[in-house]
Order: sequence, then structure tokens, then C-alpha cells
Amino acid sequence: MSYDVLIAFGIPLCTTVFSIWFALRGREINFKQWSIGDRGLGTLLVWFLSAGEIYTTFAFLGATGWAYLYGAPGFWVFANVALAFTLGYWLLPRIWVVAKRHDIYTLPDFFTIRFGSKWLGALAAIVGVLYLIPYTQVQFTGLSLILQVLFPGSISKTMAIVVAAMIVLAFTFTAGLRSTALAAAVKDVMVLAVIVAAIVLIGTVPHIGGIVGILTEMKSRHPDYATLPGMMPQRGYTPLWFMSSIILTNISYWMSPQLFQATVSAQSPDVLRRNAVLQPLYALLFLPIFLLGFAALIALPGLKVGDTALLALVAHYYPRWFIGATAATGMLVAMVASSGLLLALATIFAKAVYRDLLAPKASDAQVLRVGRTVLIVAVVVAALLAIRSTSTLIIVALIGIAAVAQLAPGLILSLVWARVTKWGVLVGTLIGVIGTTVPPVITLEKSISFTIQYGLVALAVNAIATVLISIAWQEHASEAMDFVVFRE
Amino acid sequence: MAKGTHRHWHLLLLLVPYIWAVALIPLVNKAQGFVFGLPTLLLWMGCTPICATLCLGIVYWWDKRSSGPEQP
Repeated sequence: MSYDVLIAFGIPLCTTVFSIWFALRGREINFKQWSIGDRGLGTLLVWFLSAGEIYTTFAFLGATGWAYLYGAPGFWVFANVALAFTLGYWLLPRIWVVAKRHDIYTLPDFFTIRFGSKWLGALAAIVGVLYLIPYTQVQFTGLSLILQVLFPGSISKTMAIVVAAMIVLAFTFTAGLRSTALAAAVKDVMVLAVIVAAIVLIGTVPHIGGIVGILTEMKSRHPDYATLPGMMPQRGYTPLWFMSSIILTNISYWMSPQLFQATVSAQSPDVLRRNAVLQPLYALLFLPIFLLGFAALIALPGLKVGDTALLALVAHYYPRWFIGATAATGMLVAMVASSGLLLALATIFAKAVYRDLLAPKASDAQVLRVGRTVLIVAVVVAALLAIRSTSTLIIVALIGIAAVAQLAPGLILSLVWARVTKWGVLVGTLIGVIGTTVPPVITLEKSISFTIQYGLVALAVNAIATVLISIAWQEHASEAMDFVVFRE
Repeated sequence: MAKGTHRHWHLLLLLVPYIWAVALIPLVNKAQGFVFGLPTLLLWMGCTPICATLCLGIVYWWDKRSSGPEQP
């Protein structure tokens, strides 16, 4: 085993040992501590945990992929996090307060309690799992992609995924959320160091001529790259598409189960507000990421998979120690993100399905055992899916986002409007899910929406249906008022 | 109650990042030029995080200032 592979595996392994040791130190692990850090995470850990959940392999590789293939259409990622926390500044403290008051851990719990309906909670749980499994698989696939491109021929896909799955299992199984947040801190330092170093070293790559060279070359080779619809106009990435993508992502952003869980694990609403102020700045990292994507297009045109652009650039032109460090960072990114996803899945099962629906009298130890069992099953399923499938990162994740997005009108409305009912949410969500998963309906939506994201059309119909049915079919839910009035 | 309504006006600042990154896009996309060597749209979108943090920072400061004395 050469020293670059040693760096690649050594850093994630050390991080795992450190974060488990640190998270376990002086703490007794019960279900609440394991799943939501006993609602005790301060500003720093919430910042790292959110960054760990947001900046996944998909975010980094996908962003360079978009820069490489399309140019300007990829710029929407800058707005993604910035607007998510603009909404989050208002939304997240409200979620936190009701979650604390009603012992809510997950998104399905929220629906069960607000609407007094176990079936609605079960539906939310199913949608959540449908989102979490492919998203975890995407992380594993991304990880194996990273290792295969950086160390061609020396590491098999199966081995990479099995090792990663075992590390992820190790630190989610024992200490849960807190160790994920600690590992996320190490990951962020690595990410920052690697990206800064990559930009500094780009000056040494032949025939590119540093950042100035990248920009001049791009302008002369691809004059339209930096305006919409970008380098592939036939894809229809118009300004209308761009704006609707940002709005769609924004509305649905906080529906991701893993982000909901990071929210309720915070110490106080003020921690969430401070995080909302500072977290957007992290997205500035996309500027060097895009420049590296453009550099890859100049130096290595014609790559088959756009998502490998960043990795191919590193593998071709950078020193070996740097390849090792990049691989280690990529592994950490994928592992932290998938830990958060798997933990969200396990918590949904253990809390929202097992304790709230199936066995209300279960002891804390039993719930924790169920959570850990589900975790093992989910790791195995996600790893198997990743070993067998070869789909591109962005497509799978976008489909997942589209399905989970449909819970957004129900959740946001229930925090501002006491009259929204379970039937409204149920019908609205079903319409939304049909509108984003059934191909003929998608074709119809695309034909009437010009270049607006079809998911936004489905979301609008969902919201209208939710409101109309809630008005038409009034029903009293005992907790409704409590969710609307905001008291800290 | 007058104080309560007064306190909510600053939340309108939360709309600024949306205007910046969504409403103004068709306009910014028409600009073909370069600023500091960067294409206009790239620089504009790249500044979205700064715009959001500034607006959120002001809103946070305002919230703290108005709720400060009430806290124990």
C-alpha cells in the first residue's frame, strides 16, 4: 500500500476513533443523547453538523460537474444555502420551540403531533425513508467514485464501499449524533485546507496559467459559459428555470429529515439564529470550486461523467500527497453526510414508527436497540445499492428532493395557520408526490410550465389543494393553536 | 402592541436575499461584462452568501437589541 492510499484511509480512521472517544467521554448514551445529542449542541457543533449535512459529496462533485458541463446554470448553488438560512432564521426557532415542548425528534413526529394523526406521521416516515436511502447510496457511490478516480486500478469499488460502510456504522452505532458533529468539524478543516491548497497549486498546472488564465481561456473557448442558459442551451436552463429551481429548493429545504434532526438537536433558538447568520458564508467555497471545474474543462475536455471533473483534475496534475489528502477529505465528506442520513433514518424508525405507533410503552433501552438495529440494516441496504447501481449523482438526489419537498406546504402552513387540517395535508402531499414521480404527469407539467421546474408546479398544486381542503373540511386538532403562537 | 408591530418591520430585510438571488436574475443575466475579471453573473451569485449574512446579521442584531432588556 503506497503512502497516498495510507493518507486516504488513515485520516478518516483517526477521525472516527477521536470523535467516538470524545463523544462518549463522560456521557451515558441513551436514546435522546444518541439521536439528537440530548438537545444540547452549542453554536459551534450545530454549525459543523449543518455544514456536514449540507456540503455532501453530491454538493462538491455535483457543483464542479455543473460548472464543467453547463457553466452558469450551476451558479444556483450559491443561493441554495444563503436563502435556506434566510428562511431558516424565521422557521427554525419556531420548529425548535414546538419540538422541545412536544418531545418531537423527527419530521414524522411533527406531523403525528400537530395533526393528531398517526397515519399522517406514518406517511411522512415513508416519504422520509424513500428520500434517505437513495441519498445515502449517493454518498457511498460518490465515495467509491472518488477513490476510483484518484487511485485508478488499486482500489475496487466494492472494497471502498465496504470499508466506508463499516466506518460509518462504527461511529453512528456507538455514540450517534454527537460523534457525527465532531467528525464534521475535522471534515470542515480538511475541506477548507484542500480547496485553498488546490487553488494555490493551480498555478503549477501546465497550460492553464492560474486563475486569470482559466477565466481568459473560458471566455475565448466558451463565450456563453457564464450567462444562462449556459453551455448546453438545448437543456432549457433558462433564467426562469434558474429562479424556479432556487425557489423550489428553498421551500423544500428544511424538509430533509437529517436537517430537521440537526435543528432539534440545538441547545436553544438563539443557537439556530446565530448559525443562520453565519452558515451562508460557507457557500463562498463554491467560488474556488467553480474555478476548479472550469480549469478541468480547459485541461481535460471530454470527460464522460461531469461529476468526476474535480477528481480527474487532481488525479492528473497534483502531487501524490495532495491526491491522498483529497481522497481522505472526500471520504470524510461522504462519511459525515451518510452518518447524518442514516441516523435520521434510524431515529424515524425508532421514535416515529416504533415508539409512537407500534410500542408506546417501550423502554428507552428498547427504543435505542431498535434504532441501532435499523441503522445496521440501512447501512447494508445503502451499501448494496451503491455496489450494484451506477446512476449519476445529481439525478437520484434531485428525485429524492422532489418527493420530500411535498411535505413543505403542510409543515410551513401548520406553523402560521391553525386551520390547516390533516386531510388538507394528506391530499396535498399525495397530489404533490404523484406530480413529481409519475412520468405522464411530469410530462404534462413540463408542457404547461415553459422552463419552470416541474417540481415547483407540483408544489404549487399541492399547496393550493392543502389550503382548499382545509377550508372545505374543517376539523379541530387540539394542538393546532400551540404550533402557530410563537413563544420562546 | 405598538412596540410589537414596530419590531416586525425589520424582518422585511429577510426579503433582500430573495430579491438579490431570484428576482434580479433576468436583469443580471443580461449583463455581458466582467467585474474584477469575473463574469458578472458568477460574481453576483458568488456575493449572495455575503448579502444573506449581512441582512441576517442586521436582523439578528435588531432582534437582540429589542428583546435584550426583557431577558433575565
